[in-house]
Amino acid sequence: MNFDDIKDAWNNDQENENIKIPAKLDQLKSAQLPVERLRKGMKSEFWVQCLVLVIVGFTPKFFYLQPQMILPFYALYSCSLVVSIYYFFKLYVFYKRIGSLSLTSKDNLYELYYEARLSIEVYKSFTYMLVPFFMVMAVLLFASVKVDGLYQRFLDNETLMLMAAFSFANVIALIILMTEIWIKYGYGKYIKQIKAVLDEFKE
Amino acid sequence: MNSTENEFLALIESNKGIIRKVSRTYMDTRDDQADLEQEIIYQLWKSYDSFQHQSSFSTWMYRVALNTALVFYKKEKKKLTVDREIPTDIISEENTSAVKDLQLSHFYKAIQKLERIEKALVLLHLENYSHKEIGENLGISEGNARIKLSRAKEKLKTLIKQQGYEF
Repeated sequence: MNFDDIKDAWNNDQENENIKIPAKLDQLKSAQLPVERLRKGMKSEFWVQCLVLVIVGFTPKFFYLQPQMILPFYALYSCSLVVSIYYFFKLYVFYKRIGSLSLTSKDNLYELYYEARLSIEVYKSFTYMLVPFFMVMAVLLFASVKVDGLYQRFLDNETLMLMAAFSFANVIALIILMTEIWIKYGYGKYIKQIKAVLDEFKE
Repeated sequence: MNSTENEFLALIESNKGIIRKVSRTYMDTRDDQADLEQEIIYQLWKSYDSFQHQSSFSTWMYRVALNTALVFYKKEKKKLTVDREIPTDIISEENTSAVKDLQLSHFYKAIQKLERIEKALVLLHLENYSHKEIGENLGISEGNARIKLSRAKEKLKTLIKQQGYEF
């Protein structure tokens, strides 16, 4: 056998006709491309984050908030909404743009790879950007707790203040760690798959 | 169904062999091949607006199909993978069709072991694309396409020989 034999057999193979073309295209769904999985994940996260923002907006209804804290709370909430809308828009642009498969294979893979990485960086900065807003909102809620002198006692106690600062730092570290782990296992594997194919182009 | 959809389906029908060849080159089981075929059709339909009639439909179709196959990953199914034996006892030299089938069986079995880009190179070569055209499709230089194709063919030759078939 040689390559001409294979070519001949390849072009005259009846098995090439053994394929089912769907009658209706709207029934087709994509499932197994890394980019489609990224899209699917981003879509689900979008709805979860919308839900979180709505819940945060109603927090003063569930917990008591001192009247003088309501304005700062909603000022912060508005800022977090503006930030969220900006990032949602950025991620939506990515969501719509990626996936043009008409380019050359190498260009297509590079585009996918860098767009996916960029979107993940956008996602990370979005998450980290919201942390300070939610932290300050939590402080406002805590400062409104109706226990006589609790807030003052807290401010007077250096140990408690240190513990609070330490807890804050821990919560931030935990959020960063969880975000990194979530990205690594949720999205990182798809980027790795694209990178692996790209590496095959190297000399 | 609108006219664009009809036109697209007619083009796919007359070029469906391309999809089948790509799926058989990239996936080894019929289930996975069927999944890839559906994915390719979906991606072709999604990208159909970008087909600008500057090249033939089959050339454009090859590009989209290959780009899909390059990043397609099979479903993680729990199943036993059986290394299928290729029957040789019923084949005689006179039976040309059976010989061709046997050669193709060896070819498809061996090509599964190549890298994804190597598969694309071999596939385009079998479709009579020149080194220049292969390079243009994959986004590499003509020289690079020649070198990589030559290596891929050598690798394929070794693999077929290891399967016990004369090459």
